[in-house]
Amino acid sequence: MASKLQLRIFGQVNSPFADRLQTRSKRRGIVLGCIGGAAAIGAGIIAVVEHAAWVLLAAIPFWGFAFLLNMSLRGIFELDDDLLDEHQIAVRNQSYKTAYGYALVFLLIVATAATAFDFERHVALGVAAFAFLTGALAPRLVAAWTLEEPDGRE
Amino acid sequence: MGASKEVDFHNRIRLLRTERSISRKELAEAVGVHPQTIGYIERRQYNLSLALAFKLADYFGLSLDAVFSSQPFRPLSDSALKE
Repeated sequence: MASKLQLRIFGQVNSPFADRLQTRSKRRGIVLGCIGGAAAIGAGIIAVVEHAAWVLLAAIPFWGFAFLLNMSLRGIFELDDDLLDEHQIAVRNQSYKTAYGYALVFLLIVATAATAFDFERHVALGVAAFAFLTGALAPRLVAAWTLEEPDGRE
Repeated sequence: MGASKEVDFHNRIRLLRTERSISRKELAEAVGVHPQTIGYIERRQYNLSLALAFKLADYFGLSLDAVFSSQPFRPLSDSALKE
């Protein structure tokens, strides 16, 4: 039995607004926006670490793109299985599997760079923030980037 | 992505839908999937489960092998010409 919150999310991700976000080009644009937003937060931490407000300001576009990302993926990462069909579940599972591999390689590169370049504390914080944010969204980014054009509207 | 690469079997879903003037949305609601999933199946970008294959065949009132095949279906015009 789906909870009220789940049903609310289900309604949101099946709205006409969400429908308009579900083309491959828009999904890919949102993926780039998310990565750019995460980079802005990381850069914000590095550049203006003494002014925390700027970091919070840099977080706004990131959260905006993260919201659009969920909408463009029909909520497949938020909704329970009983509100998804088998294709949506398959896409979600495959995305986790693929993202796991990418995330491991990415974290290895970041850890190697941090060790090799002996980052200062605020730089390390910025890089860690970028790695955390992109890592947290990795399955969604993979799904949005790889999902075929839906072409399912009539 | 594995969930959406071209699958090895063929189907007549689009043909049957067109023939019976059924929209993707109507078919999707009848078998309990999202309309985009019907599109992925029609374009052979999703390897559907046996349970969903049976639901689709049942919806059209046909046997499984009339809707799905491991070999490409012969064009309908072939059989029409022979008759």
